Amino acid sequence: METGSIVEWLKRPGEFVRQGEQLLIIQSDKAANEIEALESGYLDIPSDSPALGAEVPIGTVLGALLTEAEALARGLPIIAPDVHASKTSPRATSPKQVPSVSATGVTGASAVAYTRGAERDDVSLYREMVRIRKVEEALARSHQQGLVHGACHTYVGEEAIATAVCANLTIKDTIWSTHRGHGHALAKGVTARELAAELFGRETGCAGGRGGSMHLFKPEVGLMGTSGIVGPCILLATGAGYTSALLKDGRVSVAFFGDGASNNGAFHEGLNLATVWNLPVIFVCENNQYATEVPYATVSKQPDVARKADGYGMPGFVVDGNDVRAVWEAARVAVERAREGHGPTLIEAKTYRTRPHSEGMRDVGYRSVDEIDYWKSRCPIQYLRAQLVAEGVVPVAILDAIEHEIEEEARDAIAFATASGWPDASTAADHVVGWKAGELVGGAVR
Amino acid sequence: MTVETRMAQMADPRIGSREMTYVEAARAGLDEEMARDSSIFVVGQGIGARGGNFTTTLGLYEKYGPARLRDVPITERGFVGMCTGAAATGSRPVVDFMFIDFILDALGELINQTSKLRYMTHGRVKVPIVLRGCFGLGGAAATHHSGSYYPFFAHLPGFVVALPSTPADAKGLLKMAIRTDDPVIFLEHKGLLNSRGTVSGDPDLLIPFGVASIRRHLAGHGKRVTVVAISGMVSKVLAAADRLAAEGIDVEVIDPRTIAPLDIGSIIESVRRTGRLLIVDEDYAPCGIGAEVAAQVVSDAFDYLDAPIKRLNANFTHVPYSPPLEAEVAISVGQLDNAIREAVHG
Ligand SMILES: Cc1ncc(C[n+]2csc(CCOP(=O)(O)OP(=O)(O)O)c2C)c(N)n1
Ligand SMILES: [Mg+2]
Repeated sequence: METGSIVEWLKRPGEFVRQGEQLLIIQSDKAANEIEALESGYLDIPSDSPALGAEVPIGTVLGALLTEAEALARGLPIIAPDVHASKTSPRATSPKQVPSVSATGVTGASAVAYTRGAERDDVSLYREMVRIRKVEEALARSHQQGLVHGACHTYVGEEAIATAVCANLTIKDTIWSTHRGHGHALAKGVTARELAAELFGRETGCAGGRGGSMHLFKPEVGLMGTSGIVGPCILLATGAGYTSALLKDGRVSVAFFGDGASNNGAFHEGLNLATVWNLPVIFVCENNQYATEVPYATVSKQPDVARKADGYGMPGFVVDGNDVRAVWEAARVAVERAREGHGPTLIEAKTYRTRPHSEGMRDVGYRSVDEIDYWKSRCPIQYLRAQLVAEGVVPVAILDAIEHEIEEEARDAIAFATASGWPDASTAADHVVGWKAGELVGGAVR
Repeated sequence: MTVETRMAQMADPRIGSREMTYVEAARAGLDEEMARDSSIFVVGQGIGARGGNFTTTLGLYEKYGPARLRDVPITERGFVGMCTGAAATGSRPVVDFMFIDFILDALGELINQTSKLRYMTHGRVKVPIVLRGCFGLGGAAATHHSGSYYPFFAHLPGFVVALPSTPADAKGLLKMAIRTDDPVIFLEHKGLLNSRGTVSGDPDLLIPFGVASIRRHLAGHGKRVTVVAISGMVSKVLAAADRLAAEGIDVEVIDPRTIAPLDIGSIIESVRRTGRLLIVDEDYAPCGIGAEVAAQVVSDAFDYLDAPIKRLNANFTHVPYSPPLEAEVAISVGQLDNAIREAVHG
């Protein structure tokens, strides 16, 4: 035998293959042979692997069996060994999809950018994270001055997640967010001016002042809304995925939500529907380890939200949410899966908020100063900056210039909000329904 | 086990009283009940060591521990269903929603299970559960944290709906709610939480359901009108009555205290004295408490009326965030004064 061709792969990329299990069928000039795995590992079929049926010389590399860390580093949607599978019927395994349990495993993925799909632009990621940080800090100061009314939940410490996920989206893709949504809004294309004005309650805000911190909307850029209620964003994003599946419009939708939301029925119902209907949805759980003051460990025996994906037959990844490259890579895989019709993905980004739950709230008694300091030292912005500087690809001067530019942008946003007018009080009841009072009913409703 | 104790409607004069805030008064009531009856437990988000977002349980965790002050995940449907089962089997849960807006996630459970179990079991199962939360407009809390919703529950059989307007009532009605063997929706207006008043220390002083309080009696001179005011509106109406006395308007102010059951008798008695009626309620007008009161008065006391019944409600819209928009939706002082004048002169 000098040449051969692949008839069929018996395993999927990312699937765990045990030593001795049949891996693929190869046609030689004599016969079709089932080839078994000589060792165990996760199957990688690289993009330059020969196509089915193509005649290739012996010695050609068709694929590789990787360790879990290597598989994660290549961005494979890994499918772990099925503990119930019997060795004699390897093809009968129902694939059991579980996430990586190591955040560090995925962290390494950034160094080995997988070949297909989008290019990562580190400078843009840096700029966006700095924008979120500086705008949030400016808003927090404004809250202290009484210029921002009501609650104000900042995204400080978690910037990498919205930044990296949204960098993989187009303007037509939709995102659905939470009470902690300023970062999502900015990353999806709400301007700093529109955000600040909204929190100041001004007519120039992204919801005309009627929303405030927890009710940000800009459907024109795919920000379908932040929410004062924990949970619904998961179902709403699932519904957006349904539209995309129905209309085949190529869009994907993303739900951002906290660890606290993962115990809500909306999470379980939404994930189940998204998998059974194979919807193009990405569920991004920002596990900052607390729901207000409640530690996640006290409300879930399963420390990894991502593992809950397994119960719904969906891949789930744990990523280091403070490593923007790692989140970017996980998001890229998830977006690609969704766009190619492979259905939803759950990404759990482990992270931390370094400010109080909401501005003005106490931040003691439920977590330690040491813990907060540790996470401050793991600042996602500083981390990327250190990487860029160490790699020597981006001059420090450029990074400094970005900081100054964004500082100016944040200052300008606050000035803009301060100078903006209040909404016209007579518009308070506009938009309750599409028709005007008196048009469909016999008189004023009030 | 519930320990049978005195249920008084008048304070024991030997026991002192003290000034405190509305939220402190309700908390004192909860504390007294928990000390008296070990089957009472509280569930909610942040009601344990944290003491409650609105300090409704401050200090109680230290006294009663985690099994009786149970922090829960964000699973409103789940913990309402769970507490309904607990109530049906001998314990007495108090569910603290913090913002009452979050009760909406649990409506299916509340309406189909909590309120119907007693009925469906032919009276053999009782569901002693208190569902409490803060409600109402104010503080730029915006669209998802400013709702009222109480007419839903008053519309349905099976619920008591209590809306205390003073610290003393907050305590007395909460204690009554806890001792009642049926679901009670207990609603605290956010604007009242820090209001102050004198509160009796009598641990058995309860305020019965369905008994209105006349907050201001007729002075006996001037043009008369009855104003029924709900919860946070009571103090606003009292202030308006003081202002309008100078214009020769004599207002009798009725606070129903519970809207289910509703003390229509006291309202009708008052209308007999005044001939005129205005209902002031921050919640929406359509199908609301004002509509119900008006319907009952027209039906049962038409002859006492000298003028059409009037209602004043917040604007019929969702609640916006921006302070000027929010103020537009709320009932203003000017609107209130005018509504009373109209009810008198119109
Ligand atoms: C249905 C519902 N219940 C309760 C709340 C009150 N609440 C606001 S934020 C929050 C904690 C959310 O925690 P998590 O989902 O982890 O998000 P994080 O604030 O940590 O970003 C709670 C309980 C709410 N907004 N909605
Ligand atoms: Mg959280």
